[in-house]
Amino acid sequence: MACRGAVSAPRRGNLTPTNETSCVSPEVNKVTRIIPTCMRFINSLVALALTACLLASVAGCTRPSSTRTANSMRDQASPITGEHAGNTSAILGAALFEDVAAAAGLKFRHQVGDTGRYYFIETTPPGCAFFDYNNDDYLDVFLVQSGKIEAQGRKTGLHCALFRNNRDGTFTDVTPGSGIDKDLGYGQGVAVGDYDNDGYDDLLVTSYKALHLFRNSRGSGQFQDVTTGMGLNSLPNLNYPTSAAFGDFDNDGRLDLYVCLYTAWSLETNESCRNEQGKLDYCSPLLYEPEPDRLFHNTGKKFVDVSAKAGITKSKGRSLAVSFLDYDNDKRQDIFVANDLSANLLWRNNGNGTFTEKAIDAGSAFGENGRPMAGMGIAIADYDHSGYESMYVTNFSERPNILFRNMGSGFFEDATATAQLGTTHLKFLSFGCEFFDYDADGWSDLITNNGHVQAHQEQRSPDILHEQRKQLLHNDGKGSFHEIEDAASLGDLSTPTIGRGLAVGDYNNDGRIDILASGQNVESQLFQNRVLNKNHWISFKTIGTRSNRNGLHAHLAIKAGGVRQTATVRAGSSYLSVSDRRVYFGLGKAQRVDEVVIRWPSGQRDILKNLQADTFYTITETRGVTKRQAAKKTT
Amino acid sequence: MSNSSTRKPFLTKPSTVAVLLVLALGAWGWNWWQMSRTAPLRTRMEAGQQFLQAGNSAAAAREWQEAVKLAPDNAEAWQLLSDSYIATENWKAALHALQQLERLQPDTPNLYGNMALCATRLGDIDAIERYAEAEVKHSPNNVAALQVLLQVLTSRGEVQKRTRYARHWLKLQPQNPDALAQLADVLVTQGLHREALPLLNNLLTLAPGFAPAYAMRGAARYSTDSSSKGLPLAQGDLLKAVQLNPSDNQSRLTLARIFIRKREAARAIPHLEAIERSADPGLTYMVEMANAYQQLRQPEKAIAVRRRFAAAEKQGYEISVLRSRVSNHPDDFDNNLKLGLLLLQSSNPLGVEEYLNKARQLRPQDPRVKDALQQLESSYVSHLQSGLRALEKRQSNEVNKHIRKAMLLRPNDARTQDAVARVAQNSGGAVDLNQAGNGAPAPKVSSTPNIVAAPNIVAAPNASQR
Repeated sequence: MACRGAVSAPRRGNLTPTNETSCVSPEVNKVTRIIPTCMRFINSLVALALTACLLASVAGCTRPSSTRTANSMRDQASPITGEHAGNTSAILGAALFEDVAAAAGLKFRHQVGDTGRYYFIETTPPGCAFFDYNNDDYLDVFLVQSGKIEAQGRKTGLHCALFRNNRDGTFTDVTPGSGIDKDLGYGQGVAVGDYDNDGYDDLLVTSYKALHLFRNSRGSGQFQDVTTGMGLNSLPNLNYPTSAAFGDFDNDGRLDLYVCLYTAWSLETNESCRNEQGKLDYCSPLLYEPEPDRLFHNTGKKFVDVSAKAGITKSKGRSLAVSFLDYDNDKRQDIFVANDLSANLLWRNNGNGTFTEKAIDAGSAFGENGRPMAGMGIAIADYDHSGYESMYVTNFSERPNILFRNMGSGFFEDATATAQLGTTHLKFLSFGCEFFDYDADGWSDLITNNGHVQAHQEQRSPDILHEQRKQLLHNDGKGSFHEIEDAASLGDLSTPTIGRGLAVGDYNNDGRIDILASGQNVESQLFQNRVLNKNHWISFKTIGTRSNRNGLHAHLAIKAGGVRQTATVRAGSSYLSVSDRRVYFGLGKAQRVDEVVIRWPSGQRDILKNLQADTFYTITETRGVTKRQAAKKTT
Repeated sequence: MSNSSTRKPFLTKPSTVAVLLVLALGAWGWNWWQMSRTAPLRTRMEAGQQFLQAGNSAAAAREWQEAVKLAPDNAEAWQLLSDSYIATENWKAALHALQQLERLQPDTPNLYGNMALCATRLGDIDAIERYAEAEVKHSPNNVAALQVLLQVLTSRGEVQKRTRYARHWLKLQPQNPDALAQLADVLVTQGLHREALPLLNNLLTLAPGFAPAYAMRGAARYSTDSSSKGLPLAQGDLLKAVQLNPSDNQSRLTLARIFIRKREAARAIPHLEAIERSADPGLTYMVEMANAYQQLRQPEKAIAVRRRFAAAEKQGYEISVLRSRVSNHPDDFDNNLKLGLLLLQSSNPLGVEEYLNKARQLRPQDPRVKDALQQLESSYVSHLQSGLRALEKRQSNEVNKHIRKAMLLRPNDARTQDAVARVAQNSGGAVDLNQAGNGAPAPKVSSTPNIVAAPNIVAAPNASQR
């Protein structure tokens, strides 16, 4: 309803409306009769409709996004097959996670090299990795260093770090003399995989304009830089590699390599941007063109760039994270790529060395309301025991992280709202993320590492901080996740940092999954899982014989306590990071696993029966269990 | 020497007399000077009053203009002058006069209210907010000023201040449906659904036919309780909202989401199709339509919709990229031109005129710019004419579609303003040019955050009476 009416000549300071069609409630009119001047305001709105308001109406004025925080639901959460951590640790008043990095000797501080010039590349690093370089079945740690981007090509004395697990809860820095102790340029991320099938995990580090491939010298602690020899040196149009992942896309038993490229940014093309307050700050990625990602085929002698041949160059986005998965269960490894401000990519493996981009068709290209995501990290798991692997993709602040639920027919549905994840994330900007069953109740929970990219973020929106705590989301087994928000339970996860990379793994082999986190200008964090419930678990390390040696992509289905769970061996997810490759299943109250069916990439099917819980098993293709190890007592 | 020597009385001393005489003369002179100085001022001011009483505001203004020239620090003169300017709708001059009055006498009653009025008429949103807020600070119980301030804050998407003032208004008038609607709206905007729900319950008791309240309550219920008990309540509210206002795309979209969530995708499709047929469907409905088809096991249809969506989204993406680049390099001719041309082809050409004008400014002779501006003009005229023809035929959907497009193409053009006024006068409320598309996180009482929408807020009680 519009307000119309003439306005009479004013008396002094007292404008009286006449002949008006009131557009206010009778109650309001009483007030406005007392203060008639102001009625003019209401009438004037009509005039404004003819002028300035048109601008506002058509401007698509952005409504302030909701900045709500979901109420803690942990009281509502209930375990399905076992005890939920909140029912135990919280009652005991204990924190679920404790940062033991310093005590464990994991002393490493990342340097983002912020110069005050706001080089765009400073927004993204660093990554981190849990991997077992010496095959002692204890997870070692690799941490990526960056430094000053302007110092490219000059010796800075900065380098990434390798920490050996001492098997007693502590680590030793074994970087000096390892071959990794050299300046790799402005480091971003890390990938792990046994590319030469010698039984020892090798390392790939991504940095500004470069890839660095290090061959593990049979677990000796020495790494040989084989970048050039393997054909990964001086690659053209490779400005800004971020995440990378090993995977055997053609199932030839050799690990291939997918490398995400973020944008065509370079030192020379760096833009200078100011925020709303006129202060210099990091620019939007939209200012930089995306570059097509790279797919390298491992011939056994070299990595050959097959991007164009495989069709990978046909679509591009600002890629930040990658993961191999078989989303349509056709037993071929597809590739999902999370992109920043451009549609995500889902490369469907055609089985003939080529890929077709299917993200739009499959419903995994966009975020909420069909908006392109600020896709940062990827977590993958069969979180709902459907038998299919779903994906969780992290997003920018004031937007939800998206849960793409795998419908099993080559389609995903956006299950974010259904899973109660629509509002939990709005104050956070998430990068690294993983599914992990931290309380071993049989349902995969979620962890995200958060931190904003805008240096002056608080001035823009005081509720959304530059340094942010991590988020732990408990899977209630009914399709929903509930954030554990109270600081007492979160423990050191509530410490705010500019978080980026994240990896999960049981570094102390106590049967509880721990967290490794990296952030900008901060010491690396190692969160020991302190959950004290009585839930059981089982863990599998795979060794391929006919398949790739790591057993990547092996599909495991277990039955325990009447519950069926599935998981896949994977070497890349999260953001710039690598998690424990061993497959971990929480079993709740079940003390035995009735059956394990392993479907190897080679097609081999191994079936194991009646396995004792709370044990680490090594399974070798065609040979079954070749090693078992009980859990260590928690210290 | 005798002590008895007689002393003359003080007042009889000649020197004293002389001094007194001088003082008296001085006082008289001062008075005379003052009288002679202010006489013209008084004359002018009185003449102005006489002209005003005779209904001749223009002549009154002339008298008071002379008066302020004679006495630039005379607050009363500035006040009279501002009143006369307001009466003659000379808003710029009125604001200037009021600013002088603010300098001289900032406590003048309704001073800031009148300044806000002028700013409103001048379309200066910053000034409206500043002055309306000043008025509210001076007179905290001034509800009308509060309303204006809230409308401006709504138009700006300002949340914190808006929440504070909406709470204040509701405190003043706890049972006022407008105040309830205003606070509920800003709470829903922030996702504070639990706090909004009791307000909405109260609002719907007071105004049971108020469609936006059902829309908001449905959205709030959907967000706060997605259990098997909660979803039907949200569904009921949203169905009522759509029944009362069939063009409420946002409620239809949320309804569709509820049906998809309940695995009743077939019931979602009619709502999504209704959005598709509306004047401003946006793109989001396509996302849900694909989801619905997918649930209905019609993958070909789902894929087709997704591809349509992706194509439309791609254009939006390219526009975003160019906007970002132009923002960082405002004098880049190529990007301004590219953006202008792309916007011309887009369903939401907001800013096209600005970018093409900038391109013309950078390269006045470039034929591509001339062509583009001609295209803009012809498209604009075509939409304007189609909209006005539809208005005559009372085809509200067509009016909405074309006039909105004209508004986007040339928002500041006098022809646009004229057309909008005609729509407001002649559509009898059938056309709401502020009807939002979809994609907003929550429905609003005022469907689009702009000041025009504000009357919808205050119209709530009337809506309830209907």
